[in-house]
Amino acid sequence: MSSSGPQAARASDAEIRDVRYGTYSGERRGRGAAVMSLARWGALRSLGARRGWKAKAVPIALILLAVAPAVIVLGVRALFADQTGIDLTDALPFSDYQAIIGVVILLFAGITTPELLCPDRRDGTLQLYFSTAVSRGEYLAGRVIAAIAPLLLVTLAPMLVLYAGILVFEEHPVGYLQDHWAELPRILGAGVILAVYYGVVGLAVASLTGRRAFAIGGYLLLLVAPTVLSGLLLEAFPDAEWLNLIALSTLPIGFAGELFPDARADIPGELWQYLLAFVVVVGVASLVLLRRYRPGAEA
Amino acid sequence: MNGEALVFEKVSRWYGDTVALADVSFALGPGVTGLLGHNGAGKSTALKLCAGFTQPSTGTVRVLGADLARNLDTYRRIGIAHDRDALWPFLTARAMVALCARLRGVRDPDAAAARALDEVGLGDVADRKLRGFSHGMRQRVKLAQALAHDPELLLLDEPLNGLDPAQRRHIVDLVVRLGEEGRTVVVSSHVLHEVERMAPRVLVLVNGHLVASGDTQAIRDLIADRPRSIRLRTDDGRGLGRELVGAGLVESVRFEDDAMVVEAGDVERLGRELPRLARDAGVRLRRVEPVDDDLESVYAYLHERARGVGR
Amino acid sequence: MTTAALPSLNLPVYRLTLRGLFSGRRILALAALALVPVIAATAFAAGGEVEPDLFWARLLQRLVIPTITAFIAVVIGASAVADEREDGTILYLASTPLSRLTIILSKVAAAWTVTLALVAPALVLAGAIALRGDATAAQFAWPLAGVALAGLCYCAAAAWLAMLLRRPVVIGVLYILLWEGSIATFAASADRFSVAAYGRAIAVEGVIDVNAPDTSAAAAIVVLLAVTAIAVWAAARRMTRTELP
Repeated sequence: MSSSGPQAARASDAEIRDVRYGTYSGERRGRGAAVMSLARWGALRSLGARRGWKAKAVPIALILLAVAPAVIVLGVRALFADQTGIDLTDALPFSDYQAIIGVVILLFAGITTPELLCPDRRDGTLQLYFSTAVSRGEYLAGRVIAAIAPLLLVTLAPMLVLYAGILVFEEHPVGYLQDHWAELPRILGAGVILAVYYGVVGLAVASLTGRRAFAIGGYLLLLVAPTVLSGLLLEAFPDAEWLNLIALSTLPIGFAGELFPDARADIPGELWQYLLAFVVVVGVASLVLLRRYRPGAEA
Repeated sequence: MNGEALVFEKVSRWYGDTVALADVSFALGPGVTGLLGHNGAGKSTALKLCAGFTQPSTGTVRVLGADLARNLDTYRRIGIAHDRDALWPFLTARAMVALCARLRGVRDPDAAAARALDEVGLGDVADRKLRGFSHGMRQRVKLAQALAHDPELLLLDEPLNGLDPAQRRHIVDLVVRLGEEGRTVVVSSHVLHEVERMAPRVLVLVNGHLVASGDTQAIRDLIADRPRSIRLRTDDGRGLGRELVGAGLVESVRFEDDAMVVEAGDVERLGRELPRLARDAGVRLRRVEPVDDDLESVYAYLHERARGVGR
Repeated sequence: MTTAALPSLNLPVYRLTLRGLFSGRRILALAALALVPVIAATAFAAGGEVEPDLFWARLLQRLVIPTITAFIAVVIGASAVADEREDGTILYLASTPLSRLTIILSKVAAAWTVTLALVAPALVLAGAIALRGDATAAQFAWPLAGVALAGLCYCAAAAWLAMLLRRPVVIGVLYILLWEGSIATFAASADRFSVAAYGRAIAVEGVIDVNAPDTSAAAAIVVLLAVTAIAVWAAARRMTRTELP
């Protein structure tokens, strides 16, 4: 028999291996791989992997809800357009899509981001991570990616589905592409803006506590309360357009909407104002995150 | 023993998070080798890897010197009896075995089928449709199709499953003969006393790890940290026992029915000194036999030792 | 047989698959399905008010090709591979020197044979009843060609699906009912993704255009054969890499 491995007792033609102890002799991948591993497993767990069907049901339902408007529009077009000429495509321009499913995006972020940070802090595995070669920055980087990537499934994917579906059903898809190719970068930008915003803000709130329930509640409160406040104040002071920027839950949607030329007129405020407000909010959230993960803050 | 027929090099196979085989390496040559392990230890996975039905996650598997995925021709020289029960119900036993033989390049498939079916004891039902075959008959049909093309390497997954004692004896004898003919035979089983009769060498899998390989006796010899138990039938057990303890040859003595069981750390020394000691004490030795040298004890020990690993 | 350098049809595997497909209640159910056009034609002949040519064209393009042929070909095509995967008998074929391409090709050929054996006679009979002797050869030949090629493409795609999934028949049937049967039949712009559409493009050379796509018959033939080849190659490749059964 051939032999290998540590601690193998050998006679002339027999061998016993002590498998209770062993060293790792395989490939050692780099720090980048560690970050991607944190990102990948964080994203999968937040979507419900290895947590039973109930944990999967809610994220999947939200994703389906997010895609539903696109599916409905495409379905109507496929089934009825030829006969009756009804085409709902105009009823669902890309600039409005995110506004329509805004609540879904909010809920999705609120449910997935606490899963990324709270269990580690609560169960004490955070200290375990930081006793390995992974630095705090790398841990955060992995978790930020894990927050943003699944969010793209509700902020970006539905619009891409709609776009692709329109292409499939167009009489002259190449012509449509030539006329509307500029929509694609706008869709991409809109999707990324929302994913980054809700993801980072969600992570910031989740980093403040070890209990998921508090994180979800705090997140919703943080976003919804200023929005309600902004609405009230706008009734009192209709001309103060900057009040729209306080509406934290709809701020990114307005920002994304400004990217689409046909919707600009309907959105109060200028692009640069939204950009500024976006940077401020995401910046503050990032600072909170960094502070909560500084050395010594594992509790 | 040269090991060229079947070579595993650091083979691991996992399914998601479940590791079916962990870093298994061995090389097998002609003769019968038993593949031992509990259900779920990785025996079926190991055989599937040998048969080319799946690929290792890491490591290499070489069957008759070749990578099966690239050298399909190697299948002419391999016979596989896998663990699934199903056969084509509308074929007769002869038709199925002949079909398999034909697909593997046998020149006269019908003669080969007849011979194989006779060898496994299905000669008189060869022309019955497989639909009505019992579990034991199906097992033997599988074995027949594995033999029909005269393969160098045989992979048998629990071949005695479902057979009655007479059939079992017949198949055990068949397997022993196949090994003596110079073929490489791998038999997986969890019925230890039968493996003991068929296979002089074993591979022991526990939770996906290969914990021991080689000749059963040699493995037992290697289990150094456990004293060997010897049963002695004598006409003055207590007297002899006193002498043995006094001479420091045994660690403990216990009396069972009409025999004495001693535990000795150094069996060789005991074997050398016992006759002299018995003669000097005037005690007649009627029977001296090792108690836990059988595969059952060896396996139990290995399994216990590796408990917790891999799960 | 031997491992040829070129993949070929292996007769024993072909016959084996054929026998396996013909057994059971499934084949009776599918035969009954194949008779639906015949029943429709009989009903029409008894008292239809439309032009026979128009009725025949509609029958072919709305029922026979997208639903009947599609359903039968997908179920048979998937079963040719999935049955043996499910009960493990495919392992006997996998442990031979036959190339995986040969095995898949032989199975797809057997599935195609069964599909044609069910659909072609029913089609000819339905046509004979509906057209009542005024029929031209083209009204039979082109539709048969369309059915044959679409059927082949469906069988190959279903075989590939069977190597990919554990329950290919469910997915395949969903595809037929939702996509081929409804959307693609009515939405002109989805034609390029529908196998039945290309089948209709071939059939329409001999009958009135009811909802045929813009593709020419020649292009349709090329597309169907190309998709068939890709599906067979992909299924064979999958067989090498996936865990059998």
